Amino acid sequence: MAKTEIDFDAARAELSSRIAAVAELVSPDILQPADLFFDLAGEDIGRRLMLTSGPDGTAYCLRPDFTLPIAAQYLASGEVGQTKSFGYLGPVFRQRDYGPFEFDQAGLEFLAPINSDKTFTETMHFAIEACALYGETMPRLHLGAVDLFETLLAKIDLPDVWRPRVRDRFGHDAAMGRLLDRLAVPDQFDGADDLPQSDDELTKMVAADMEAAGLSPYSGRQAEEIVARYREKQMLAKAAVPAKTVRILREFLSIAGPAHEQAFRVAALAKKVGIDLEEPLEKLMGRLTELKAAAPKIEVEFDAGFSPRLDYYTGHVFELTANKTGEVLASGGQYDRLLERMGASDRVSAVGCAIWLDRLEQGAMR
Amino acid sequence: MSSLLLAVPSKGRLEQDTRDAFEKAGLKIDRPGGARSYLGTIEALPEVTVRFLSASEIARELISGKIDLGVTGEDLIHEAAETGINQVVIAKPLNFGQADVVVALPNSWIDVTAMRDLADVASDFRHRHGQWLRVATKYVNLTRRYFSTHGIAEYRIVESLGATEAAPASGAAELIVDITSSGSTLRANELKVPEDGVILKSEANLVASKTANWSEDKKAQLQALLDHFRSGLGDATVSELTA
Repeated sequence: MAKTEIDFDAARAELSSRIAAVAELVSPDILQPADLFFDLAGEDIGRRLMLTSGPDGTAYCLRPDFTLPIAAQYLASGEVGQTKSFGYLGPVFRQRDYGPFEFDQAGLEFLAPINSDKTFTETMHFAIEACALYGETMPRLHLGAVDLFETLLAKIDLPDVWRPRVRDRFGHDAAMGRLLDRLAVPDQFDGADDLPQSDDELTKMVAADMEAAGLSPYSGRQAEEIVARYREKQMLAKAAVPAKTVRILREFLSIAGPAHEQAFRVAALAKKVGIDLEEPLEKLMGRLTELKAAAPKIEVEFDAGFSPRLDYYTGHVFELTANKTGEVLASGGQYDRLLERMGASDRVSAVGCAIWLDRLEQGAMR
Repeated sequence: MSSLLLAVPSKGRLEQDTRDAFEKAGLKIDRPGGARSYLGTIEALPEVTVRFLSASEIARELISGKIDLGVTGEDLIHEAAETGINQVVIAKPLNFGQADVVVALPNSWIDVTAMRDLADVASDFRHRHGQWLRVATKYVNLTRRYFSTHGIAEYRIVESLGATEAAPASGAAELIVDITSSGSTLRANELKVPEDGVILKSEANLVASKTANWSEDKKAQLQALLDHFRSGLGDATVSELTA
């Protein structure tokens, strides 16, 4: 094992006291109901979970992160809407391609912060300083802006039915690329052409098919839903979405590189196509200016298509990567939709980050 | 001298086809105790031990290295463990037990003809119904990988260990991933396969375990056995085992 000047126990103690200085240190149960994670992230997270089941068939997993258990605890506390700050340091469990399945993470979760923007700044600097504690003084900062994309998507000329579908693929380059290809050059309509012309009759026909197959008319995909999508597919084959729309989306998503330059590229694109992105752009510029002043050594990259593929992220998102290896050392962001997705009656803003202690320690030994 | 452990399917059509294929290769398998016995012998290769197991058990034990060589389907190897396929060498397809692992959905879904449609449907379903589209299957690993390749993330798997084709009608799931050989079960249940909905074309294979303990003796026995099927197959497989 390589030598290091860093005393890991001392570094952990220091990190832990920094967390405790801004948040309440909590330690949610290691054994969590698996549904909590499946409900929020679907099958994508499924292959990462360490699963087990109880005698009554309930599926449990070892916590794969702290964010969801902390949010669940907050929801259950009945204090939803109240400003709370939580922090953690402890093991999480995930199946991964290499590395042990049990590893330590530390992090912060701010729920209903008074000023999300300021809290985001603090959270990001906390992560930057945590890296420095392990000798990584110049991590690369990878920045994304979900709000910028969501604003563009809301304002661009596109049939409404496509907006959520495009949104769902944000953060997944390959899937997004394929979807845009389809929008640009729609497939030949491949449905049968001997079907009834009237929606009414077609719906009756589908409902009859469903009945013949023993499908419930009340749950699952409904006949109207199927017919609506069938017609929409017919329409798309006849009239693609405007070529300009697909071009703008492609150009926007390709914007990545040194942050300041990219922010100007976004501004130029917005101006060229006449879509008002002023509010999220101003926020991005403010973020970059702050970073330049507070952490001048850090290389900041802005990537317009960067986002975790989880639809509860809403604002800026970031990743800190090791300068030499490119490994992700910390990640975080603003996720105002999480608590609502988990059952809160209103949107509750939230900001947080997670730090990969095992990678920081390994990096320090290289 | 250590002896090569060969596992073959213990019952039904698969057992018979396996024994026929071995016999054709000049390796008649005897099951002295009849159908209730789990041990067999090959007269031409007396040092080989034959065990009769279920095809899915064979897949599991090949991955963990408890048996050296076995007859099983690729689908079962994938399903026994996510990266199980890396622990084995598929030595030879045996030309029987053909079956496809496919995505199947209701005929009434007239708007779905390909996986790209399903990606839209999954996304719409969650927004419209506030819940995930459900896929019933016992092929959890294959399903996750295939759906992910097609960029489909908005779904949940409902594990189903029998009569999967009935899941849409019973309301347990909206669609299924299942194995089919003739397609007749799917047709009987008014289910169809999208044009790119075939996940895996599987058949019975002779499969060797990379994780088994390969002594020189056992390697020699493996080579001798495989060469009965095709000359040179033994060498090729052994070099892959140790690669």
